[in-house]
Amino acid sequence: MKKKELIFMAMALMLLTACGKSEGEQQVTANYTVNIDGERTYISDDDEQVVAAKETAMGYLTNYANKDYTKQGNMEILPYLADKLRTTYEQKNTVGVNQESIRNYELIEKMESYEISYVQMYTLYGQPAADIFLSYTVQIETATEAYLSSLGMSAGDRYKRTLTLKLEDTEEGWKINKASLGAREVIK
Amino acid sequence: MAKDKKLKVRYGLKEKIITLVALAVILSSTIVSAIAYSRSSTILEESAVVSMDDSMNIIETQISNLLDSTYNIAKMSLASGYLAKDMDEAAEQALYKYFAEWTENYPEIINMIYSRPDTIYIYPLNPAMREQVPGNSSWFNERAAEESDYNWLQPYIDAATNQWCITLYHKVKVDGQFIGFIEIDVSLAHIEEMIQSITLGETGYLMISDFDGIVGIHQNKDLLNKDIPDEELRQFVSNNTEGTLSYQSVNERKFVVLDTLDTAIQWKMVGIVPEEEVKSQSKALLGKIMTVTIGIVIICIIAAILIASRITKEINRFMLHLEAMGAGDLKGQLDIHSKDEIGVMGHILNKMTEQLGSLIGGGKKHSSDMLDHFTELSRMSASCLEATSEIAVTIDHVAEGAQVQSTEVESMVTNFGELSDSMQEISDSIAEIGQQFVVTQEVQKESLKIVDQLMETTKETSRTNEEVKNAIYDIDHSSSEIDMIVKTITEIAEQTNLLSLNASIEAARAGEMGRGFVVVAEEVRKLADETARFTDEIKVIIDKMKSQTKQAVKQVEDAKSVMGEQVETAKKTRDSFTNLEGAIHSLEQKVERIGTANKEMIAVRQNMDAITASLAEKAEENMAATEQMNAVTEEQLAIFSQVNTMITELSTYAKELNNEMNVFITD
Repeated sequence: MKKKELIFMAMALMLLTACGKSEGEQQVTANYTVNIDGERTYISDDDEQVVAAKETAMGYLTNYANKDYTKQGNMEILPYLADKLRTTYEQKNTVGVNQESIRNYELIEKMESYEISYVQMYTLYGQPAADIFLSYTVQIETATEAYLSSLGMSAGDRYKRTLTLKLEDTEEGWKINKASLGAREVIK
Repeated sequence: MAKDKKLKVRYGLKEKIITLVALAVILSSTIVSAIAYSRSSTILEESAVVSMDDSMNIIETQISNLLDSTYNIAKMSLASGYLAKDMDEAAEQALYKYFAEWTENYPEIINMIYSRPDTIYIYPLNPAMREQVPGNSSWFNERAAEESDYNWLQPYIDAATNQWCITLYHKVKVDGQFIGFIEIDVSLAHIEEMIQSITLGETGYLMISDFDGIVGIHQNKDLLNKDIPDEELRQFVSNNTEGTLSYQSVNERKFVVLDTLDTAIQWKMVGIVPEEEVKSQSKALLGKIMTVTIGIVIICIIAAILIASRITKEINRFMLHLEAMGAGDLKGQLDIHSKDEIGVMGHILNKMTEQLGSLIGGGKKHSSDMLDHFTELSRMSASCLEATSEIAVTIDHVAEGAQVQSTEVESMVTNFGELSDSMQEISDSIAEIGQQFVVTQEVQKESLKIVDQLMETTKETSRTNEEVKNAIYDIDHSSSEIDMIVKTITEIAEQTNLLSLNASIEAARAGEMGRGFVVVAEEVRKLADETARFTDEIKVIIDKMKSQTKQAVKQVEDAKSVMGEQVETAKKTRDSFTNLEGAIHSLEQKVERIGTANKEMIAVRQNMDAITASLAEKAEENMAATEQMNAVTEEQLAIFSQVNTMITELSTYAKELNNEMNVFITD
């Protein structure tokens, strides 16, 4: 094969490779950033920041969604919160109230599955931040009748909930500064 | 002379004019286009800014109207009397009814709330809220502590409606006493819709940011309550209240216009347009400008070609006329058509041609005359040169003669000098001879004496010689006698020897007894032998002596003969000396005469010296004069030659001038 043909083929290969990596054909993941025009740029699942943010979110979710009145250590979510939100929770004794409710309702719930819909990475006041939107499925194993009736559910029923978490990258790692729960959606 | 090549016009005036005009037009057009483009970019940017400002003004007006309406509703609510310190059920219902009327008429109102330290009245009804005790909440107390009667909560997204809202709270006072707040939650949804519906240009849009550069309203919900993604833009928005910015975004360059709402809401409006879009309009405008410019350039070039053709046509006629003039034709006149500068130049040229013709005509005549004069002058110069050459030759001859004369005079002077020296030498010699004569006479006399003595001595020698001869004869006789004796001795010796030999033999025969005799005999024999040997030697000596004696006799004889001759010779010598005396005397007299004559010659020679010296001086002067004359003549000849050369050159020039003049046609 002549030298010219080799060069031509190499150039063609380079062009094709470059085309393969064009923005229009970038690999779509659940993680992305949004530019000023609203266009998304997807980030790999292996991205260090994404992985770290997800770990925080999952830690929070696991501790929040799994409840067992027979055990200690429910709602151990404070380590996952940013200073401001943790302070608020502490001031309002949110965790204590929830733990008491769990005990009062004799509640045992177990998270069966979860799904992260998206992770949006951005900055807030110049600091790295992320929004994680996820949904999870919980089965109510036991609860007081009063509680179940207030929910219109029975023991053994499953429900689905969405959770929106706003995280910020602090010196102690990714922490949640806002958590918004969606309404329960009973799974028949 | 070689004929000049026909000159070709290269990069002619026409091309230059056209090029110049084209360059000028293109340059002007380019500058105008560049300025227009630059200006148009600015104008379009300004236009974009104005457009965005208009949109922003509309938004601002809408927001202001909304806020004013809200404020007015609050004011009217305060004046309505429904907001009382104590309210029963009927009053509460009446308040709800009153609130309902407002919400029906103003759909932007989400909630109307009357909050008191002890309770909250909210419409639309919300039982959960109804149970709150505001007096226990920090927000209520903080608001109550504010000096201002009313204030606005900055926009927020209502959790229930997920819409942008803004809240006005106004203190409710009865008789100047604070009893609570009237709050009106107003939706900004229609403002948001309006903002989102506004497009700037083709793809530009408006967005809302707070003072920290956090997105409030954007077409894309993903950006809400987050930093403006582009850090440069975020910094610009955070740090400025208004202005424009051009920056590189992720995909393209953006042109941004920033303005701050002059309302109670702390919002900043950001208009974002792709810079390329702004520039594309400028480029389109530039394209139009370029098209028009190219058209203008083409028209200008065509006009330039036409004008240049007209100008160059006249100039070409000028050129032809000048070419004819260059060829010598001064008769022709330029046919002038135009009345511009070229026409005036044509008139001037015609006049100049006429004057030049006249001038050249006169010049021709003068050059012809000059040629004749130069020819005559050349001829005369040649004659002059020839005559001068002949003079020079003659002078050369004279110089040669003078040279010869000078040489001869010089030679003569030299000869006279030599002659004078010779005469002097003669005089000196004569004087010396005189002295020699004296010496000679003395010598002659002395010689005579010597000759006489010689004769006497010779005679004495002759006698002596005779005596020697006799002595020699005696010796010879004695020698002969000795010889005889020696012969006898020799014979005796031989005999003795023989006897001794016989004695020896006999002694030997005698044996032991004759042994002593043998010895004696032997000794005798030896003596005999010795004697014989001596006698031989004596004989040799005697022979030699006899020979010498004979030779001496002969020599004596010869000496005798010589002495005889010597005597004769001495006589003759004496006679000669005697004769010599007379000859010397005679010679002395002759020498004296020569001396006298020589002295006379010296006197004559002294006169001749003066004459020849004068002659030599004259000859030298003559030679110097001829040399000087020769030099002057040579110089004159060189000058005449130079003059002749110059005249020849002038004549040549005159011929050339005449030829060149004849090139011009003037008649």
